[in-house]
Amino acid sequence: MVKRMASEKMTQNSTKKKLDALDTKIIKELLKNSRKPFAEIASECKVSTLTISKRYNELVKKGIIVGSSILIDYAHFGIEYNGLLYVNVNPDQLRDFLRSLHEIEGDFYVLKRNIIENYNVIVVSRVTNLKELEKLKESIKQHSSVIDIKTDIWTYMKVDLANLSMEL
Amino acid sequence: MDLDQTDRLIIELLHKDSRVSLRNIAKETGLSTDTIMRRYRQLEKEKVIQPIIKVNLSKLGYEGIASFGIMIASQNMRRKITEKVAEILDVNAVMETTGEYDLMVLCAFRNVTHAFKIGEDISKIVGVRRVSVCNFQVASTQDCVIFPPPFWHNLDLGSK
Repeated sequence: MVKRMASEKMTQNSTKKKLDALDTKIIKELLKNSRKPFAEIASECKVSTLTISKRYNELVKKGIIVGSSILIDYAHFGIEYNGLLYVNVNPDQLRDFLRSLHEIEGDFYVLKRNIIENYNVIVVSRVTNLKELEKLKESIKQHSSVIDIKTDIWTYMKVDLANLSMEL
Repeated sequence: MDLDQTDRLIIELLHKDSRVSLRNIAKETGLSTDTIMRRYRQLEKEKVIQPIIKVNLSKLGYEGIASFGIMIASQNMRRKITEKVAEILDVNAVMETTGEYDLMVLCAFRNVTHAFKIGEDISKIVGVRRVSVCNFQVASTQDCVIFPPPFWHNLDLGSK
């Protein structure tokens, strides 16, 4: 009982301090499986389930855990790969270009980023065959702002979000 | 595994919030909790989905996401190199690609020195011919590239 109270007190103090080993453990476990029961994490860390749930709520409150989602293996949907189109767009017409993408049919999404190389927009498309990708590329090329397009295809992806050192 | 509308609906709801209770999914779809639970277990078992949390990387001491392009010496070593690169701390994703590079790597970096250190570690792996920095992105989440939205749009959210 005394021990339990002590750990509860520690939890309260920790809200104002940096993250500790228990926090990073919770983050890592949930990055591997966001539905892992708190009771399981608690027994692995030898603390109470209540401690884990308090810590979790704190992590949300501090804006460290911002939400949850799923990684989807699209191979189960017959989608074998991601097609990437690196597009070099005239910066003055960037807005216009992005707007024009809404009119193009197909399953794709856009990453706009500050790229060091010569491409300022990346269009990612999940495709079942190369013809689809070629078609998308041709449609995008139509826009007057496009200077150049480079194609890249991702055939396999290994993701491990929990692989973080988190040296705080 | 055959994936029907119900599975897609479950996936879509979990994509928005993977910690939602299965009971709530049942309510939203008008299906029984038993059905949802059975479907969920199947999706998990077949590794169609992996539920994950999203974190604010900047609050964990990271400045953003760096991406590297890697050229390898022999295509036979591709998968082995992918596995090795994925083991390096702070590497979040490795993509095998065709095109200019053989592999693309996404990693969380604390500062530019840290990012270059990761690049250096990659270049030490046997079979890696060249590592180039493609992009430094100041980012607070890994979003988009790693967990893009489900590709089917305009799904009718069932009867309820």
